[in-house]
Amino acid sequence: MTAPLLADLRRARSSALLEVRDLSVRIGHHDVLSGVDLSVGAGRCLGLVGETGSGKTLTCRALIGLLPRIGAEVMRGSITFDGRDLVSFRQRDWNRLRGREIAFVPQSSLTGLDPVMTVGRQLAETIRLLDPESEVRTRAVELLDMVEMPNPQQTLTRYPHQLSGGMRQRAMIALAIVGRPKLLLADEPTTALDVTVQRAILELLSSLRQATHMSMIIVTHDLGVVETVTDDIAIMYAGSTIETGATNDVLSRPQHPYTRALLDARPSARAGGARLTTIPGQPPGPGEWADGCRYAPRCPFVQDRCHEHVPQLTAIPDGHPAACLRQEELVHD
Amino acid sequence: MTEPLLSARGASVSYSGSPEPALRGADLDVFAGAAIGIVGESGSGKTTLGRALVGAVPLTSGEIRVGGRPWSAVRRGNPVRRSVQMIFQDPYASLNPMLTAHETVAEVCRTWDGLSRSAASHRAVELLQEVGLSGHTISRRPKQLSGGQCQRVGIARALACNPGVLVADEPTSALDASVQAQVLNLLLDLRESRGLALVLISHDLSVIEYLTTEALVMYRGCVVERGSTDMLLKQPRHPYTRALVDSIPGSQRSPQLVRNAVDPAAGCVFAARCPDMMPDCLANQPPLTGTAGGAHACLHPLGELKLPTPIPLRTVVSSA
Ligand SMILES: Nc1ncnc2c1ncn2[C@@H]1O[C@H](COP(=O)(O)OP(=O)(O)OP(=O)(O)O)[C@@H](O)[C@H]1O
Ligand SMILES: Nc1ncnc2c1ncn2[C@@H]1O[C@H](COP(=O)(O)OP(=O)(O)OP(=O)(O)O)[C@@H](O)[C@H]1O
Ligand code: SF4
Ligand SMILES: [Mg+2]
Ligand SMILES: [Mg+2]
Repeated sequence: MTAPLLADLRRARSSALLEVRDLSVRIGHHDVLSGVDLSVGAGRCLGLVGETGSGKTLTCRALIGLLPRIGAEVMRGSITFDGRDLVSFRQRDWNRLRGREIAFVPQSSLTGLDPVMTVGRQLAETIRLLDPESEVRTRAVELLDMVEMPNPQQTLTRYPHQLSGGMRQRAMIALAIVGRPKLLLADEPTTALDVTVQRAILELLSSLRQATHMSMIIVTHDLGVVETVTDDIAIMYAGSTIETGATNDVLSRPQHPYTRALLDARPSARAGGARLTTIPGQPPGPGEWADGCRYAPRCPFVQDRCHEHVPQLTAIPDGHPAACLRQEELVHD
Repeated sequence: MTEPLLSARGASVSYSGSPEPALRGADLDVFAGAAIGIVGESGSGKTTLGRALVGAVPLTSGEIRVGGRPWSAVRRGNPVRRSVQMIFQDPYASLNPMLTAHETVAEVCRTWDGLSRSAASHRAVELLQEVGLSGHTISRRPKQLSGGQCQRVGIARALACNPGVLVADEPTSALDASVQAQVLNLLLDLRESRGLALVLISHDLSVIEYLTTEALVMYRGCVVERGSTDMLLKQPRHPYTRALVDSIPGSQRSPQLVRNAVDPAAGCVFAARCPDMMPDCLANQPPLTGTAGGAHACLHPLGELKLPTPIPLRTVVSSA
């Protein structure tokens, strides 16, 4: 690597708001995350993409201090946010940080909202912590308006089960941006939304990001969304990040065989009339990880050595970091 | 002519306490082997229509017949109930939190198929395998599963009933592209091998394009356009459908949605957001007009709307 490039890299690093290194998390006897590496620059948007069950939601939970609630603990690695080490955070520290500096839009909007409280009360409870009482109602309506909720006034009086899937999702987003966080974690924020609203929400999040210099991590399976709104991308497979880099780079020149297969499986990648391409076999779950590359049992490029060494996320010249022993050969074919 | 498995006429639903109906006069026939897509605005009544089709929500007017009989006349234990299944939109909320993935599916095999305990257990493992779940994962409870794992438990549970009609409400929204491909191919196989009729609710138009042959577009409780999926996506006619198609990430046209200062309760349901609104639009909701091949509910006669030139759908990722 040439000297100016290294300097660039250092600068990019020092401006990172969030830096996760080699994070491992265990539940009971099994590692559920092992080798998660990612970083989010100030004001940037990272797309967290990957196999279902690969640990995207658990990664978000780790970043917001919600691991203890499910009996999970960090075994190894570091999480640095705005100069602070989050792994050593205690409950008290989290209470101060959560919602104000890092906010979370959970994956299932029905479980994320309190079923026995109206949307208005839930918003009010959070707003009250940050804004004067006299502004609570106006701010609640304003927030619902921002997320393009139809009939904001009336929605305040509704319970979660009375809303459609997409309306619940918007209520969750409104709740998360109350505290004007520095980092917003959005776990599948637009899955239940039709494309017009999805587009509106993503534009809203982008403009919020620009106006407040907020950084964002979006977990999503929608590669179209990833392409339009994210700057960077991290791909996960079986508990670790296996490829990271600038979004355009990774999508146009994937270096890991899993990323390639994922892109080939999209309906839009199919040749007219053909069946969708799938990946044979299944990913190993926690507790089923063998030595070596966790993608090896399904990988068309596998060699003997792949079963021996766990590939580390390594950058190659003219490429971005990927965790595959054969990436240099593959990137040129 | 063969009878439809399900048929809706003027199906309308109003929830108590809601100012406007969630579903207004939907007509739909579901024949064996059909593949019907439902798309539309969030909150437009897609889930409500789906739930009405499976008899899970009472109609305020109109009728839905299953095997020739209205739902209200179908008793609890009637086998016709199991022949119409739904995959619910919220994967967590629709599962029993106390049961493991395996128990959830095995229970259905036991009660509906009258299988012995061990046969049901075996069948459940098979079904879960088909949706890509195996190993330790299937002995976890919903809270211990990821979003996409829960979603597939819901799919396996619905398939365990061996349904004739499957209403799938956003069935792959939580799945990555490769598992989504596996599930969509499975549904397509079932349709081809057993004539399973699919009603697929999805906001992902590329999924709708892949799986369905005809589609409905909904807006504020109304079906505003229907037709062959191909035509609908290539040449959307209703102004809302056009906005929808143009909102696909990566689309070359930007969606046309405006805010007209009109009473949203008057006239056409889309008047307040429509770029082509005219004063006449505020009189009544235009009826669906057209042929069996395609119809839309807009006052502009076909041909007078500036129809966009068709663009290929496959523009999502502009890469290799
Ligand atoms: N409380 C728990 N106890 C045991 N295992 C768990 C628990 N929560 C999650 N897991 C397991 O950890 C793995 C990662 O789960 P996670 O929810 O992070 O996946 P994900 O990447 O968010 O997937 P999806 O895209 O389907 O939401 C899964 O295999 C899941 O079954
Ligand atoms: N149980 C309920 N009680 C009261 N109102 C309800 C109930 N369920 C849905 N609604 C309302 O009915 C309308 C239609 O909701 P529905 O869930 O059918 O929409 P949808 O098209 O499925 O939307 P989405 O794409 O967001 O899931 C919405 O305005 C919603 O608020
Ligand atoms: S390390 Fe080997 S098995 Fe793993 S992805 Fe690369 S080629 Fe495939
Ligand atoms: Mg998840
Ligand atoms: Mg719905």
